[in-house]
Formats: sequence, C-alpha cells, structure tokens
Amino acid sequence: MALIASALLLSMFPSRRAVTQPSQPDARFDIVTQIQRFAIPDCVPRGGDDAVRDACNTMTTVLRRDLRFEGIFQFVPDNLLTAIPAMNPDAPNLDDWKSIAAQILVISRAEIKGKDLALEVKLHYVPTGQVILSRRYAGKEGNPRALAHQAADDIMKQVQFQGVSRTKIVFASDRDSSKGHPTKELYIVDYDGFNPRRLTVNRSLNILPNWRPDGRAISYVSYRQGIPGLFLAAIYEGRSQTITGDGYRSAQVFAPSFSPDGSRVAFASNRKSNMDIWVANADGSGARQITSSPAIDTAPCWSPTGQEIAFTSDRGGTPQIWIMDDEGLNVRRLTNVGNYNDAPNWNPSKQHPEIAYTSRLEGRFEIAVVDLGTSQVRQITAGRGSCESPSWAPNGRHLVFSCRRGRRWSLTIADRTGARVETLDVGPGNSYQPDWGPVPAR
Amino acid sequence: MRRHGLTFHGSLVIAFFVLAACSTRRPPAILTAPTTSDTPPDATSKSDDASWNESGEGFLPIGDELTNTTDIEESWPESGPLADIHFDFDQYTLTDLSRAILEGHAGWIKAHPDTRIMIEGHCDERGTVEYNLALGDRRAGAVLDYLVRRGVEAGQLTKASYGKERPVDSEHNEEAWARNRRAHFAIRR
Repeated sequence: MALIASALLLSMFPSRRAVTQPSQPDARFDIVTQIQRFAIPDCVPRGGDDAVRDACNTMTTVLRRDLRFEGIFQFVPDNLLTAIPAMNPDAPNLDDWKSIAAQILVISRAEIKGKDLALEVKLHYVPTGQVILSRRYAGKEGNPRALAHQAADDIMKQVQFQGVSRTKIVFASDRDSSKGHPTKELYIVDYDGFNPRRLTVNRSLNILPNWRPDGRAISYVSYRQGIPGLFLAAIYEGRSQTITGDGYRSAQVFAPSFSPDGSRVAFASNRKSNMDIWVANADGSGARQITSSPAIDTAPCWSPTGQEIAFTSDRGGTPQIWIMDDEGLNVRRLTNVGNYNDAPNWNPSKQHPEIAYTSRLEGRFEIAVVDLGTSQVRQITAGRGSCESPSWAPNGRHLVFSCRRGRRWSLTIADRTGARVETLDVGPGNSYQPDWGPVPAR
Repeated sequence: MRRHGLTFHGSLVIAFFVLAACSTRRPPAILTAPTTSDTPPDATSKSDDASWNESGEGFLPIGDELTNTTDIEESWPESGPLADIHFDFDQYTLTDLSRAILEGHAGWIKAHPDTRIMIEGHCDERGTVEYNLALGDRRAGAVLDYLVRRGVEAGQLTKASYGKERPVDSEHNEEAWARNRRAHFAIRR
C-alpha cells in the first residue's frame, strides 16, 4: 500500500525525485539549534557567454546580500572562499569546506537557453555531507534578481527562518512632477531598492499607501477627484477604484490600514465633521465610527492579532499614540515621552511586542520604538535629518521610513535595534511614506 | 545607476498612456486660471518580474505582472481671485488679518452664486504627514465655518486638507513655512 502511494506521488511530481534529495530530520534539528556559518562561492555558469556570466554574477550578489541582510547568519570570509581550490560544482570536496569551518555550502549554477534563465541551487550541510536543498528556478533572462531572491528565501526556510527577500515596498514619489504641477505617484520597489515600477498614473496626489496582507492590492489616498478619497489598486490587474463608499464622497479619508487578516480597513475620516477613526470592510462597505472624541484622531494601525488598534490622538493636549480595542473601547495612552508622537506601526512579529512611531525631538522628527511590555523607548534614528513614517518588515526585524537630509527625502532602512541604518536608493526625486509589503504567497 | 545597468530593461513592454485626452475632462469654465493642459503623453513600463517557475517542486501559479492604473486627474483649477489666508504655527484659529480678508471673500462669493469654492487647508513641513493632514482639515474647516457665518451659502463650499503634501514654497526656512501655512481657494463655475 505504501509502495503504491509513493509511486503515485512520484508520478504526480516526476521532477521532484530528479532534483530534490530527501533531507534527514536529525540534520534539520542540528541546523536550527545554532547560528549558521554560510559559504556562498561564486555562481558557476553553464556555458561560457557573457550573458550567463552576468546573470550568474548578479545572482551571487543578490544571494549573499539577501542572507546578510537579516544580520543573523555568519559567513565564511571572502579571502577564505577564494582560498578553496577550484571545485567541481556538482561534486564539491566537502573536506575543503570543513577546513574553513563552513557549515552550509551554497552551490549555485546558471544556464541560459534562448530567452530563458535557469538557476540551480544546492545546499550542502557540510558537517554531515547531506544535500538539504536542491532546486532549479526558471525565469526570463532579464530577471536574474527575482530568481535569486526566491532561492535566498528558500535557503532561509531550510534553516527555519522567514526572510523578506521577495518582499516589496510601496511609497509615494514626486519624480513625475513637472514645473508648476507637483504630483505624488505611487511606486513599488523590491525591498533592496531595485526594480522600481510606477503604480499610479494620474498626475494628482497619491499618498499613504498600505498593502493588503495578501500582497495583491494596495489601499491609498488620492486627490484625483478633488477631495482626498480612499482607493484600492489591484496591482496585478492594473485596476484602481474608489472604496470611499457612496454616501461619503464629500468627506475626506486619510491613513488607511488593513487588518492582519485583510478583512477590514481602518482609516481616519471627517465624515461626522471631526477627524475620527473608522473601520470598514475591505471593500469600504459597512463603515463604522470607532472613536468620537472632539480631538483629532488619525493614523490607525492594527496589532498583529487584529484585536487592537494603535492611533494618534491629541485628546491629551498634544499628539500622542493611544491604543484601543477594535470596537473603540479600552482606550489608553501609550506614549509619555515627548510632546509630539505620530504614525504608529505595530511590529507584526509576536516575538517583538513593540510599536514604532515618529517622535519630535529638539525640533526634528526621529523614529522611535516603544516596548509594549516594559514601556521602554528606544531611539532608532539620530543625526539623519528628519525622519518619519516607519513601517515594519513582515518578519519584524527591520523598519523602513523616510528621512530628509539636506533637501531630499529618501527611503531609509534600519534594523530593529537601530544599530544599522542605511539609505535605500529607489531612484530620482523625493520618496515618502513607505509601506513594507508582505511575504508573497507561494 | 546600478539598476539601469541590468538586463531588466531588456524585457520591458512599453505601454503608452495618452493623457492628452484629459483636457476634455477638465471643467470647461474657469474663472481666471489658465488650464495646465500641457500634459505630454506619458510613457510608462511594465516588466515581467516574478514570472519564475520552479521545476523542483512542480509548477507554481506565478506569472502575474504589475501593471499601471490609468486614472485621470479631475483637478480643481489652481488659483483664483480669492487670496490665500495664513495661520500661525500649529494653529487653526483665524487671525484678525485673516478675518478681514475673509470678509471680502464672503462678499465676492455671495456676489457669484454660480461658483463653487474648494477650500484647501495647507501646513508647513514641521509636522508629520498624518497629523498635518488633520491640522489642514481643521484650518479648512475654520475658514468654511467663518464664511458660512458671514452668510455664504454652505452648498457653494467644499473643503479638503492637503497637510504638508503640496507646499507653495519648497524651501526649508521660516519664510517658506509661513507661506505654506495657508488656506487656498480654488474656484470653479
């Protein structure tokens, strides 16, 4: 019976047997319990032309960068990599790699046939000699980065880690402005800043984008009809429509935020004259007012459970971050440091119960994070000009935000401790209001 | 630029969105402002990113393309005979000077009952995006309420907050900030 079942499985997935070798559970157990030391030698092209060599180089660069980005893995230094004698990529001598204390050896090969590019990745677990991943990725020749991002994601999954290699960031850009006609259009880039694509084309103001958690749609605020309204762009279909709701066209909507399950959207609106928090179904229907204080309430964001909402309110005299449940009850003030705090963004990882926000310090704005357990505040940015609009990576290990240094607003990425802060090059003009997208479904 | 050096552009499909058609969608009658219909045809592009397949584990339903949305702005004209009024830092209360100016505006609007006025509330950059949008709403609302109290028909008035999203002066100094803290009046018949 078991034989028949496995024969059936093999016939359903004929290619699986060819390239994937079974991994041993005990080897996996070893892997998760320690920090891994990776060796990622250069990708080896099959065939010798420039195109495949270029693709190979790009993929090596992307693989290394994706794995380094998370800051949790160790790597065999480059000078030791080059000290290893020339190898047969299909049968590496693991003793060589053992001698430089590599634990996971990542062998990659690339091939171009016609317009098609293939990347093969093999993960050797050096201590036991096992192949723990063997996979082939196929795509268009012009697209080596996407293949390498996918491979990096799979490699991290093998060591029980959810990476963000395939994630994208949406933001507002003024690069399409012309003289006398300032615009903000939405753009999407890979998380590493490459591959920018324009999303909106309406020469109006399009701001405050927020990914739907399935990664297939983005809500945002657009002035294309004069009064700022709520829109939903289906990014793979090239369609964008208003979800403001028919009865509310004369009211303004700001700061949309999808609930973690994607079923609801919270936003700020002056529908009942004052700026309050509302929650509607994901298509904008069934909107309900959640706050009703005479103060300004805005910038809602959801807790990872979807049961609470953090928001900005000046009901205490100055703008501060407050928390309530998703019915608007149990309202309490979160921030007590500083006299101007706004734009909360809740860490999506349940391992890190904390909220990032924008805080005014000595006339400038900085990114800060408050720990929900201890109420301790840590400052993420300092001396980078003025920074605002923080958004967490889906695994909760990095933040993206926008900083103005001199005259230019740039997207900036920091790890969650603030130890590493780097500007992200996403192209010309000023870049604002980034929102880090989810890990795409497979 | 590093990304332009890559072969990504090799697989571009160029799509043209001819925005010139938008001039026909603009309001036909405008009081003073010339239309800015110098919109060139806009060339944008899409690529077939993420169209990978994985033969190791069977084929996966990937191959979607990001494409552009093609909405066309229906904008209000940029300026009119009604001068901007200005606000103090982080305030939405009307100054004595602003009230005096609005007195004149109210008379003009009442004398032109066939016009509709969009009151735009704007802020300087020394605040966050979200809170400034709320503050701009308060500024526009203070102006709207005042005009209605001076006898203007409420149906002629609409408001929108621009926060700090559309400064009239892009410098980063006191003078620019003062100019940017404003209520602006866009008019159409």
